[in-house]
Amino acid sequence: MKARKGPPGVALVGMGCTRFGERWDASLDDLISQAWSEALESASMTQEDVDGYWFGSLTSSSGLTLSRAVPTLGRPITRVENYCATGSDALRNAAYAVQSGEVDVAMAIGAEKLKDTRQTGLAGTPVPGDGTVVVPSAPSKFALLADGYAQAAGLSEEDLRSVLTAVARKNHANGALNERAHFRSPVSVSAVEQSPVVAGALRVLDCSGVSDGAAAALLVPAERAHEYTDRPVFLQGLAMTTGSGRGAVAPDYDYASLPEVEASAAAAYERAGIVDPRSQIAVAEVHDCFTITEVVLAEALGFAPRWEAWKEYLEGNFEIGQQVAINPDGGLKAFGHPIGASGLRMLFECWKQLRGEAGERQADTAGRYGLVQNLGGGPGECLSIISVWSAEQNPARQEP
Amino acid sequence: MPCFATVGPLRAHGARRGGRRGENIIVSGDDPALDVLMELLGSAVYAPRERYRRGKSIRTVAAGDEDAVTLGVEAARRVLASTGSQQPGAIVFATSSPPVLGLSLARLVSAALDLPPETAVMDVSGAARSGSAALLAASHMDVPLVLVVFADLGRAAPNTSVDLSLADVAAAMLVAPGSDGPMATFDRHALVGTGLADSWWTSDDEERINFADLRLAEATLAPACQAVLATLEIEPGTGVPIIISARPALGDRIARNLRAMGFSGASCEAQPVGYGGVAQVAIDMVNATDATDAGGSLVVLQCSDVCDGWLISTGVDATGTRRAPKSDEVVHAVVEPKLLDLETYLRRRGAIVADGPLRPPTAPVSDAAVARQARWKYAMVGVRCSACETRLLPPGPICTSCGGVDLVDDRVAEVEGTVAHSTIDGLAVRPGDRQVVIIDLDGGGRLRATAVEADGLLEPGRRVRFVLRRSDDGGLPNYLWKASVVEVTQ
Repeated sequence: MKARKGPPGVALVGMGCTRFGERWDASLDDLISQAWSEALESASMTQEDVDGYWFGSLTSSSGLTLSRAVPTLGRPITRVENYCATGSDALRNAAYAVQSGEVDVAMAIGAEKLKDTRQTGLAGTPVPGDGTVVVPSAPSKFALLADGYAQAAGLSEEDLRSVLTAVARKNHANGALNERAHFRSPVSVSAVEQSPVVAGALRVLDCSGVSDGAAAALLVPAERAHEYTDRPVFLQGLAMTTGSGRGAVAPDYDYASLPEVEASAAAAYERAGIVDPRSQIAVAEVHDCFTITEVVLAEALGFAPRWEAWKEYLEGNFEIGQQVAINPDGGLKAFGHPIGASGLRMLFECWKQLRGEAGERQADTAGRYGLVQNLGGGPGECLSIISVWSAEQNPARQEP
Repeated sequence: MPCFATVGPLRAHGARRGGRRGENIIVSGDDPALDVLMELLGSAVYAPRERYRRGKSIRTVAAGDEDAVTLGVEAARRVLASTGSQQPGAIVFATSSPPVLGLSLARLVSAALDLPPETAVMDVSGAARSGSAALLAASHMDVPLVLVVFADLGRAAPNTSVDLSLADVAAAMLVAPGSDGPMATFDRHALVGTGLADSWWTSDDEERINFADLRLAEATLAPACQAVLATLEIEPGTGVPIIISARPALGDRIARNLRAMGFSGASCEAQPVGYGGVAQVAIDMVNATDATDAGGSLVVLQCSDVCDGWLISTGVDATGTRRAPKSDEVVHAVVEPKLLDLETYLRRRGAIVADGPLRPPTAPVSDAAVARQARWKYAMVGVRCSACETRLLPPGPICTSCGGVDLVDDRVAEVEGTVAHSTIDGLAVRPGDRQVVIIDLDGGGRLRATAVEADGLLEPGRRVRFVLRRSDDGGLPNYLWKASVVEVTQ
């Protein structure tokens, strides 16, 4: 993939994020309006200021879902859907709109109301087919990744269990510090390891939950960022890789890695000038849909050598206070996964961290980057979107 | 006693007697036996791996994703494999437990075998004597080879004595109408109907047979058998083997009656895994021909509300050996027959329903999509790229590896493979979908599939083949291919 050179010239100047969870108290309209209002307020804007919207939602069919909920004043609304990376793809398209000069102020907003479906999976409108396509549940797809990774990394069943438990414990501990998280209780080793099996090696506490939530981001040209806030966050790298979709049945796929993430990371790092992710990135919000996913992502993103991330997790090296804090807000494990909102919820934590507003969860981000990685699909058949952010418009670049 | 048989117009009969050709034929009381002249080229039996035993009774148990069609396809694949590459020009499918109405089940079997769409198909469904009717139909077909498939699910109230006497089983025969041969030949057929007793059931009922039913059947069938034997010109005292194909208790009673009439060769075959419904007559025929000396004759009497009598002669091939396996050997030639406990058996039969995960709906099956992809769906015909040899499964218009468009058909239903990855999907709505396997096919290509429930978790490295199974999507059967362990004949 060819990497585009130069700074994207886009800044994040305002964000909003609802409390995630079983929001029996809130409709989809309520969630949208909360995130929308908070974002505008944080950038000292009104609805008049927004030139266009990119609305991420799995379950809505058009931008009218947004315009019915809040006064969008006839502005164009693009409804975006791209698997679990929907929120990040809304952001990505909003950023390109700003970068192109078509709009001065773009809002990327994602929202999902999943709990009302009463289902343990994602509602959708499956396309009629010939009845031959085997569609395993998401946990079972990632259970294959767990087995594949364990085999490739030489992990015993017990070792794998310990690593997955370490990821669950870290993220739930972080989520316990976050008033917006769905699950706000730390979990014990026994709670994780005695939770019911869902698929293969994955237990209930290895899986992200089904949640309701919404988040919104306001993007403007970088040179105008300080018109809206004194602490903007600047987009330094943005990349997306969409795999062939046939990797899951490609004989050379090992079910132990996520090549799409590796490719998108390489492109985003090149644009941002990142040559040593471990030292240059302070916080990484990554797509921990399942505990094993985070382990594999840590390697794909360059935070650990191939087949060695598991050791780092056992040593607690990705907790808050370490060189890289992965999922300091609690991740999908603590927030659940309202599809359209998740990518923007990840960005919300990055925004807070780079602005020094993360409270008890604050990592040492001075002079370093924040990263958001959002995955759509499963092992061998996925897409990955990565954005890299910094508090400085022109951070010092390290040479390779 | 009035006797009659109606037969189709497909092929002339009585060729050896210089008889009638072409028209529908009514064989009346003064000329009651029909010369059928049909060679048996091969046979096979498929019985599901799972068994339920209570006391001395044991029966086969079809999995929740098996029905008469999938059982029949499996038997058909086996007989075609055992007889080489000969392709039948017609399929006759017999069952008394059709999974759906309206469709030709013979056509489904034909599609699963990837036979040409012009293959003649005929369905003989409903009646207990459908097995004999199917053979009779096959004998009239004007094609060199006919595949006759017999399949049934034995259904009575679960765990009752009647239920335990039944089997889920299929058999298949490859026959050549109009010729005789070295293994076995159907020579003549005759039938006699009994008085109509009130002993039928609807598709929603379960069979109930009590002692009085058996006594009545014995009282009406024994003389009917005697009449059929007379029509076939089998005299008392000749010692010709006479095999009674019927429910176990009924068969024994009729055999005893016939022996008392002087037919000393009358007996009833053992049914080690239960009474196979319409398939039982085929199983009994194969067993009996295998047990009869070369150059001999035997009679098989299928007894239900009609007595169908078949005069069969046996032979040997050039090497002096038979080509067809004994049916009970085949019945037992499965990997580790698996005994079910009562609870599991009742779950298989739907008598215990467990709560499943509340999952979103799966993609509905589209008739149009099926029509476009019928060879893939029913026969696993994918394509292979001529340029780079990549297998495209399912088939597509362009090679996703190299962009090549010169793609050739590549059927993988008979290709074996090795499990590369596997897991258990605890969120699968249907028990039959719990096992997810990634299979590396011999000769290249990889498929994601579900594995049949009876196999348990298939660890990486296990050898697998594909079997046609069904799921119930939206209330109607959807047929799809699943993975199953490669059987090792014991």
